[in-house]
Amino acid sequence: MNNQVSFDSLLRMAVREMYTEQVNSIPPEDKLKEIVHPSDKLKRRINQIVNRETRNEKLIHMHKIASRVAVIILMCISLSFATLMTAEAVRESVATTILEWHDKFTRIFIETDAQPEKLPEIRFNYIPEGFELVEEESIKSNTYCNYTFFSSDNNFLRIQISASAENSKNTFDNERASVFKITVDESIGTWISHNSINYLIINNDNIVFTISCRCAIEEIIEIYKNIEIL
Amino acid sequence: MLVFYLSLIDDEENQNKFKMIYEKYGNSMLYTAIDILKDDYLAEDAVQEAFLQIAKNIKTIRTDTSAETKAYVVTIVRNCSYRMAQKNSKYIIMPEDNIIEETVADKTDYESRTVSIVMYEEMKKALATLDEKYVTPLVLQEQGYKISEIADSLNISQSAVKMRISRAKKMIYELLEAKK
Repeated sequence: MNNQVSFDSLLRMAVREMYTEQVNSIPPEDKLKEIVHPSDKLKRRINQIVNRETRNEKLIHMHKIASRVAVIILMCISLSFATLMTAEAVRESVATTILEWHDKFTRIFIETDAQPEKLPEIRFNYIPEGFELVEEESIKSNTYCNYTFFSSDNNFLRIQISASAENSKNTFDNERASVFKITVDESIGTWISHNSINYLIINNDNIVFTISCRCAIEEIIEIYKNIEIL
Repeated sequence: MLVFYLSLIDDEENQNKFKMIYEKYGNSMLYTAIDILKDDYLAEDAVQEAFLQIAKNIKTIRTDTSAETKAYVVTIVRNCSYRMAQKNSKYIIMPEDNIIEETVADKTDYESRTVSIVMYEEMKKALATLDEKYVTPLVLQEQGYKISEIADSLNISQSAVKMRISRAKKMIYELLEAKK
């Protein structure tokens, strides 16, 4: 007679019988009440576990609900945004806002809030050798003028003078420009070095001078110092 | 919204499940713990420890039949009681599982091995001689719990569970071989 069985199944049977015996060896509940008397301390500790687990469950539950609500709100916003973006006016305003934010966080604005005045007559007593004024590139109005000079080696010198108007605005990419404060003849100005071009922006008695050239800052300061206001 | 209500019911169900376990099996658990530890205070500590484990794994506990639930809670409290007994013993117990995990697992396929049916009584005796930490994973596995659920219930890693089951089988098999 073949009495061989799988070791695993026989073990499973033995395990089952063992724990069934263990469970059956425990007296019925009515007898247990006479035998064991859980202390009040144990009851309190178990109640603490219940309360703690309930609290944890509630927290997890609240977290789940909050996540679901957040996802739903996000979906609604995305949906309404996608719908609104089909309107040209909304697209334009969004683009404008994005550009404004971009400018706000990536550029330097140097502005003055003084009232605009008429520009006085100006004479340049010093212009570095080799630079010639190019009339076609220059602009002159009552409140603003721009003198552009070119040298034979194609270098340029630009002198912009503004009667401290609100339109005296210079923008630079602050990631690539080095910016310094500079004092020339008791006037505080800004020296910006960007792409090997030096810029000097200086406010002298409500007249804003912006001088830019691919030359040393000392040369630019010299040009500024030799600008005569008539 | 349906998911929201279902999750509410789920939480309440788990709380009720825990309370039901405590009210229905609390005395049985304390009785089992006292039986092992022979000390009322230590037994209460073991029961508290067991309830902590039960609370953590309340979702996985099967309550389809009271026999199933009782078998599970008794197994857990037995495990906690033996651990408590070890903690309070005068001897230093080596953290054997941590060492075992580093060693190569026993890959023997006991499913394919056969033993004589007349060895059944010997097998039961061998099982009774095993340390509780090897018996508990076997019992929980027989009750239908997955390795991951057993690991959570006993607060050990899954590899430790596999190792204990494997070692338990090996020890029993070797004991049976020695009896031949």
